[in-house]
Amino acid sequence: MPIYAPSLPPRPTMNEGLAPALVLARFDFRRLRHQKIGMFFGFAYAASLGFMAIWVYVRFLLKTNSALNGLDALANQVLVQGPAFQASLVTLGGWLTTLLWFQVAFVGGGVIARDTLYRIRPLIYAHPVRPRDYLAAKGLFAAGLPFLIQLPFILIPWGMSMLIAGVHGPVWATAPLRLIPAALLVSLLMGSITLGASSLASTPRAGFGWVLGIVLGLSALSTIAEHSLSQPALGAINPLALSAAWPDLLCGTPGPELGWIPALIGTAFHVVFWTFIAARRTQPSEAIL
Amino acid sequence: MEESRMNRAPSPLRTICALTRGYLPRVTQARGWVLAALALAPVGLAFAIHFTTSIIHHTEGVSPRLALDLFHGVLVRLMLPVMALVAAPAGIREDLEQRTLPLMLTRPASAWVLPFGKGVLWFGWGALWLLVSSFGLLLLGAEPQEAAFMALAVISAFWAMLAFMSLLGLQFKRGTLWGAIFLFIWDPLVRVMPGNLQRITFLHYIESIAGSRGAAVSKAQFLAQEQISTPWWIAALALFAFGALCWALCGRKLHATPIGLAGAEAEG
Amino acid sequence: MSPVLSLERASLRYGDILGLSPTTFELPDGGGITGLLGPNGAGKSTLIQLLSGLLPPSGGEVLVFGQAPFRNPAVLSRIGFVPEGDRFPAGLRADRWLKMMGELSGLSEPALSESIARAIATVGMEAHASKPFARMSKGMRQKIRLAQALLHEPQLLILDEPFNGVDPASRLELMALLRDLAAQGRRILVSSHILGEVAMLTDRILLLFRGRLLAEGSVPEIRELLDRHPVELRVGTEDAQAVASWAVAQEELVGLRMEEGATVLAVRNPRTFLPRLQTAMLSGRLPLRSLEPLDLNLDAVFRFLTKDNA
Repeated sequence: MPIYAPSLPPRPTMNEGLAPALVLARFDFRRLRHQKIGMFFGFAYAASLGFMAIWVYVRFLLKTNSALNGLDALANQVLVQGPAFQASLVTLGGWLTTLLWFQVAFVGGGVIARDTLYRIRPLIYAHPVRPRDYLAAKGLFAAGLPFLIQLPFILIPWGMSMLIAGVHGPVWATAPLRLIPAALLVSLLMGSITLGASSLASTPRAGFGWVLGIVLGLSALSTIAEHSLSQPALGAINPLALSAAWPDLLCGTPGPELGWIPALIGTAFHVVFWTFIAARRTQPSEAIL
Repeated sequence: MEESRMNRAPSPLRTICALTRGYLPRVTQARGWVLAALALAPVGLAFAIHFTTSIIHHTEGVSPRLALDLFHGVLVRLMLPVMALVAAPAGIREDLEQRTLPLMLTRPASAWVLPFGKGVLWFGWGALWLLVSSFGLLLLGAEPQEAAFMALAVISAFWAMLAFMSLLGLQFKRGTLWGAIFLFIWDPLVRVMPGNLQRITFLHYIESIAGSRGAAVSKAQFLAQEQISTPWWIAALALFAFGALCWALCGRKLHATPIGLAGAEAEG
Repeated sequence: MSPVLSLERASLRYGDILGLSPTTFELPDGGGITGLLGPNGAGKSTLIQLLSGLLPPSGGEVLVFGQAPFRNPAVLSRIGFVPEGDRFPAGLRADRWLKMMGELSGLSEPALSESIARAIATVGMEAHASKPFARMSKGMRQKIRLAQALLHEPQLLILDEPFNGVDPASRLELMALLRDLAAQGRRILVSSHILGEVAMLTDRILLLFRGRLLAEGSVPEIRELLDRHPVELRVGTEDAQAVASWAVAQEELVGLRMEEGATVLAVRNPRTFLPRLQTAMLSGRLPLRSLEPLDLNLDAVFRFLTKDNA
């Protein structure tokens, strides 16, 4: 019985319609929509977004309501302020970043591994899809998903803040100009690691393990190296530190965990290295089993 | 003839040995070495850095704190859960996903033994490297008795975690995700859990056996609760019993659940 | 002697979908090859999963060697099963995997090594058994899957679509092998949706369609069903008019058409019609050049039966 995936995208006519990469990426996004996994993560994100929206409003009240002056003073001492607060819109003190890594690992772990398990790639390459189209499609999905998730966390609190207090609100007017590029860089980082890890795995569940293994393993090694050698720049190996660093750097938070140069080098290395791994592992010769 | 055929069903021990021997090459392939690396790399790297810096700076001796920090902060918190996450899908779940499980289920070997028979191989491999890693801590300032208890703690915990992850993987479609959430989100909350609630975490038993805790680094320290302890031998027994229970439940699940040619949903 | 297989109103549901309607049949003991025939979605794999002990029936009873096969070692030790699909364990060598499967069937040394060698030789994989699965062709992997089913010398061999993905030469080899195994006294159940293969191989057929058993019996018994539907015969002749005149007088005739150099007759009851045709030809009344049954085959039977039941 030949392998048949009944929901493959239609064969694109050359130079007409959508590019193959976009067709394949659209297929993955639609597939994700049909999965019930959105119920758990969707609930977690919605709850987090709701909390953030309430928190922005509370901060607005603390600043403007004279009855809460005493509390405002306490809040200034206990809670993050200024650039750190702006950066925390997309990290939520690390909670959102953790959740995002989990989702990226769980969903993205199967982005290439699923095609490996069901031996679909030869079928895809039998269509006018080049290996780079395939990789671009998977990268678009793997990086696009975390970016799309982070966008509401940037735009909704900013929109709220602009509505209730204009440029004097708790969220800077320029916050999106800083946080959207940060979200883009973090998404690229997450997407590339996911691609590489998924291409190494033989099943989606193994892909989940690979992503977490790479992220947490590198985090552990980087922590050891950092503390043993007293070189904070070595944190550039750590994907978790990189994903936390970009919002801080672009919002100008004083004393970020990582400087600009280590963050740039670290991100570039991960993006290039893991994309290279994925490219090698998804060549047609590898796909024939 | 019929009686001799009925007697052909292998014993559970024979089934376990057959599975272990049959799948042994898998532990020396990519996933197996990733597992080994997860266990060895932190200690290996720390040792390499310490050795290099001691030569460069002509220093001697190691801070006894280094071994503890490495054990609690890296090996227990990060590596051990990831090892369980990496090893669990290599068990019976792998046969389910690649649809070779029906070939095993149509053998006279008892179905309830299959999850343990496949899992014990990965436990053995991971435990071996955890043992090596724990004794590598001797080179980083740990006392021999300390290292021995650390080894017992991580090996017992790996036994329980692997069994737990395997059970979740069989029981639930998103079992791997729930397991990861338990290990990475629920378990660290041991610091803020009151009293006996701490006993519903792996960290409690690991620290009870190891006889030490990592430095408190929680930002929510004002929520921190006093940490209780369990005698080390009871903690080790509890982890072993929990793991055994999980394996038994895995076996029961597989025995009772019809699995056809299509297998279960293999999607993440 | 008790039957090898016995189904008594056995059915299987997948949730709301009825995979197999309540079905009753028996397969006698002794050697032979039974074909399980039907289009995709007919219920062949469902029936096979019931018989091989993978799934218990939702209703009714399935007995193999007199016992329910689901998770029953006494039955499973007498069954060899080759599922459909190119499924194989990643990262393993074939011979090592065969050894494990032999042990799971209760074999131990020295019988284990002998069984493995015998099974590998039976499928003709001596030169390739030490290769990893990933380096084998599809046909080789299929042979190894057959070998694993033969290790413990089962009395009942169940093969689900064994010819899929197998090249024509290997297909003929496999058919010859199955005939040899049947001749040794094994009961073999082969499922296929390719009528020609089943017709060549089997001496007993189970016809399935949309989860129902349409017909069951030996090939001649199935062919008798042809008596109930018209069969087309192309009669090659120089004098088509003479043939047509003669045929019109026969009561079995239901249709006739003329072709270049031939007359095509649609007749009921070919068993009674053909001897009279032969007599007329021998007496010189009909100048026949050739006689070609156009649909006197399993294909026709199947189309006939499924048309009735669609």
